[in-house]
Amino acid sequence: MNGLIYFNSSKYSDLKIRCEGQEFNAHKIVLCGQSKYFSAMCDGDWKEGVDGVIELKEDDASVVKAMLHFLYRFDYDGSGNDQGRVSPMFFNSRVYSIADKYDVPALRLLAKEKFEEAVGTCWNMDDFVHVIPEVYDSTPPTDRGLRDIVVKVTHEHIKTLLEKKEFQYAIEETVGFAADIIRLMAGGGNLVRRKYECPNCNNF
Amino acid sequence: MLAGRGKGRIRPPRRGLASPAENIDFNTIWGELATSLHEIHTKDVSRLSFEELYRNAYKLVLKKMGDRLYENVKKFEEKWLREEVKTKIQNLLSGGNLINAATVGIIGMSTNEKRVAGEKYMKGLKAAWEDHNLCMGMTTDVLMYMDRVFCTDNNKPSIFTAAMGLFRDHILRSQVATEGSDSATIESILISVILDQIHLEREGDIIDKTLIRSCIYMFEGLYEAEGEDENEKIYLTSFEPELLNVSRSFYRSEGESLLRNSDAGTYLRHTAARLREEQDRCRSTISPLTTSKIREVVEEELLTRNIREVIEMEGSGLHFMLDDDRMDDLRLAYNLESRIDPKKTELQKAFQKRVVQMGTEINKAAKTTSIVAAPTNERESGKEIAAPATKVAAPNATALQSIAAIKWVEDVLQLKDKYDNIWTHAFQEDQGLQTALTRSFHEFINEFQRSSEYISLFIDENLKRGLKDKTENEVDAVLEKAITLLRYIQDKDLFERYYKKHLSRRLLMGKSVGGDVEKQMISRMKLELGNHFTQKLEGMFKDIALSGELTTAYRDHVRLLDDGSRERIELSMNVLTNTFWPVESWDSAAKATCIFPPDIERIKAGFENFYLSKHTGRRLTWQPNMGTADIRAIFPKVQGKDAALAKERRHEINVSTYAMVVLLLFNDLPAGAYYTFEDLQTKTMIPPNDLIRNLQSLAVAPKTRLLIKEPMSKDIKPTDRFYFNDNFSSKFLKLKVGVVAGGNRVESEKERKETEKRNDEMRGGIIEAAVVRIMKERKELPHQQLYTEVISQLRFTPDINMIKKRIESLIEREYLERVEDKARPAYRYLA
Repeated sequence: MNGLIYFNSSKYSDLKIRCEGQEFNAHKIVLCGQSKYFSAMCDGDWKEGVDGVIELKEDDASVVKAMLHFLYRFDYDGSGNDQGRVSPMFFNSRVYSIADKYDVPALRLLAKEKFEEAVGTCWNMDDFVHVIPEVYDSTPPTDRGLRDIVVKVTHEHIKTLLEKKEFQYAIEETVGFAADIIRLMAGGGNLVRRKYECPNCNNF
Repeated sequence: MLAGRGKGRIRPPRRGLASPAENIDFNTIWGELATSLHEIHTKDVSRLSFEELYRNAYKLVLKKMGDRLYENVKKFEEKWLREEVKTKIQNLLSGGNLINAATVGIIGMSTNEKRVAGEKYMKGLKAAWEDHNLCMGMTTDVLMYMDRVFCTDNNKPSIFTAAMGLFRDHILRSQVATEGSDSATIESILISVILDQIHLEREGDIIDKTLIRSCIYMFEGLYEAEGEDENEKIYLTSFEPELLNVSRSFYRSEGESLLRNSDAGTYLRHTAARLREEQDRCRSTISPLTTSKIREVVEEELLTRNIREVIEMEGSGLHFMLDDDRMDDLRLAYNLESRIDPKKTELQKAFQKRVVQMGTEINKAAKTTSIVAAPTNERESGKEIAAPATKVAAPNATALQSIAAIKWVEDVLQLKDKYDNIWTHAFQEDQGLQTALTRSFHEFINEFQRSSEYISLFIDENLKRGLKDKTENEVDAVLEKAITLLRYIQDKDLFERYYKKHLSRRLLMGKSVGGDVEKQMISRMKLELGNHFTQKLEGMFKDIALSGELTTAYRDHVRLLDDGSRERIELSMNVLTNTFWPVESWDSAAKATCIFPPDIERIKAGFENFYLSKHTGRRLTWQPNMGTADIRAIFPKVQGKDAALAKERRHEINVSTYAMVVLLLFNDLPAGAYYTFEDLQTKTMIPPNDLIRNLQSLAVAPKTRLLIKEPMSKDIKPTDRFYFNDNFSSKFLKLKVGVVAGGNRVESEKERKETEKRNDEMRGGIIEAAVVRIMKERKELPHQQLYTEVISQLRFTPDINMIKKRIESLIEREYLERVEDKARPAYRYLA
């Protein structure tokens, strides 16, 4: 009846997910219904399907756990508290990235919300400047989700931020970030989308 | 484990794909991916990690190398198709038979070889297609992130779609190396192989439907362009047009050979079977997309093109089916023509033609009988013997004609039954065909001049009392049907005239089965023909009913006056309203008159007084030719003869009024005296024809010989002498002296002419009345419009000349005048 209690439960578990030495009990019916990644993997004759074990390399175990938590309970703890003292900005940005990678659209929306909230309160903290390259590197350039939030907050507090040395580095090192800021400033605070207009027919 | 743990500041983790520090080498990753893709294509999957493949592709896309990945995968697939898959298929073509079959035509290959080679080829392609689908399915799964992010962002077709396009271009549409033939592609060969198989199946062979269906799936799954427009399926652009072409020529030639070699029924059944087959084929072997198109082809080639010839086929076409009541074939013909022509033109034409033919034959048969009967009729008229017994044994001419009349109606009804049945059961009560049926009956019934008379006579026959061979219900059913024939009759007034005549005889001679049945008939006619039609008929019934009351009233009246001095003579009479009854048909030859004996004259006068005292202003005319009388006769003892005559004999004899008048004359005659024919005529003034007929009944007919004629012969001559027959004897107390030509029968040609003449006269009156009515209202009317309005008011089809004459006559009598100044002729009403 209550599917929520099966999070990480071995009961009826038909799939194990390993990540960074941790192992989670999972259920195909839960995962495959919400992520095309898992359904394609389980439907084909792949090694994972045969072994019943999915090894997620190159992912953070805490982030994977948050994703699984969401898949079972439709929410996760975005505060970063149970991750030691990881900044919620970082954590939610990672969750956003994993939701994009494994195609869980609902989680992506939730992560974005949580990220926006975190950035709104924590922009003046030291690690904000480290969040900028994180955001720009973890999603494809066309994904505006977190980028717009970062750019907007930066624009609002540009003077304060410019006083930080670390921020200067971020501007210089993060590809695309400076360009986004300029576009925003040129648009008078409104984000100007990169659009291509065909001079002949006005189609994009 | 996170980098920031334990320190005062939280540092972002510097590991994993998010790290910009990690350099990604496209070639390394692609190398790994390509190996795995190859393993997918060689079906060596089980050790491949989905996670790894996906992660690699994800990384490339995330690091903006999606386009390189996309292009490399395409190149990989293209190479695979060209080098691996096509080679395999090319090998299937070794020997070149199929290529020739596709491009040149099938020569020198047995059916079996052809089929085997074809199946091998199809199997090869089917396998290649299914492999390709399977591999691309897996590849697509692995490259899901690329499809979702890179393809969407850059408006590229998904890798699956792209790979399908590659299959189309590098397999199907690729040229096959051949000697001699130029443009054979794998696709063109496949199409010709499939078409060939379908041809085999049409010829009755068994083929591998599932295999063909798989190949069709391929055509259905591929598109001309990457947009995957549903109308641009290769199935629709390449395969289907060829299929339809081939099918068209197949069915065209099949239609031609069927026309030459089969009868109509076979043709239709074959066509129906073909239609079913093609539908099944679309479902099981080809594609439902083609169902309606192939149906059209078959319908056009087998039906539209040939239906007329099939229906008109000599000895087996519709003509034959109708005559032979081939319900199944008729139904089939109907269903099949309905497919191509909602009006069923050909069927309708042939149907109508045959019904009219059959009707005309019935007409002809009736006419032949009439002609055979007619001469005898003329010769024997006037010397018939009123002996019902002999009538039945050897039908005389009149009876023969009446039988012919009844037979005509029965035949027509039978014909109607037959075609109604066909219409209901084979033609699904089709509206158009019903119209055709009605039109046909209308046509031949009205072509037959005596239809009105015959139908009325038929009804008369069935309403006559004492018919034993049918139950009441049967009679009822027959009459119901007879009434429907009235619908077809154009000159309803003529029918009314005959019906009145026949009805009057039934009523006056007491021959009708009874008021209820008659009235039921009237109400049926009322339904069928309208109120005005039956008004006069109802008047006739009213007269009869009133007359009954009058007779009783008169009898009571006389009883009061009775002084007992004389033996009373009972009188019963029918007082008929002149306009309701066909009076004119009763005294056609001469005015019905006679001098009544004084006793009778007194009663007559008595009744006239009685009647006129009740209804002043009326005029009574007596119709002695219509009445009968019961007389009591006493025959004296005749000595010396046989015992039967030795005593006085009393008989009650029913005779016609005329015969009574004649017989009463003999009361005043001394024994042994006689009257000559001339004496009788001067004394009675009975019209000669009636007198002759009555004398024949009294003096010639053996069983009712109340008078003796000298010399004894059948003919009556003016000089013949008549004696009272003292020697008359009969074992019956009651006798009836038959009246010649008493019942209803067919009119002779002369009578009919007269009837028509009278009818025309009446029509003249009706037309004139209509003209006056219209003109009075409209005052002035163009010629043409007046005609149209007149015709619309009439319930018969008038002769245009008759209208013209009537208008002229009205102008002459100054009811109308011509309007001179109008460009078009017109008339004006003169008040």
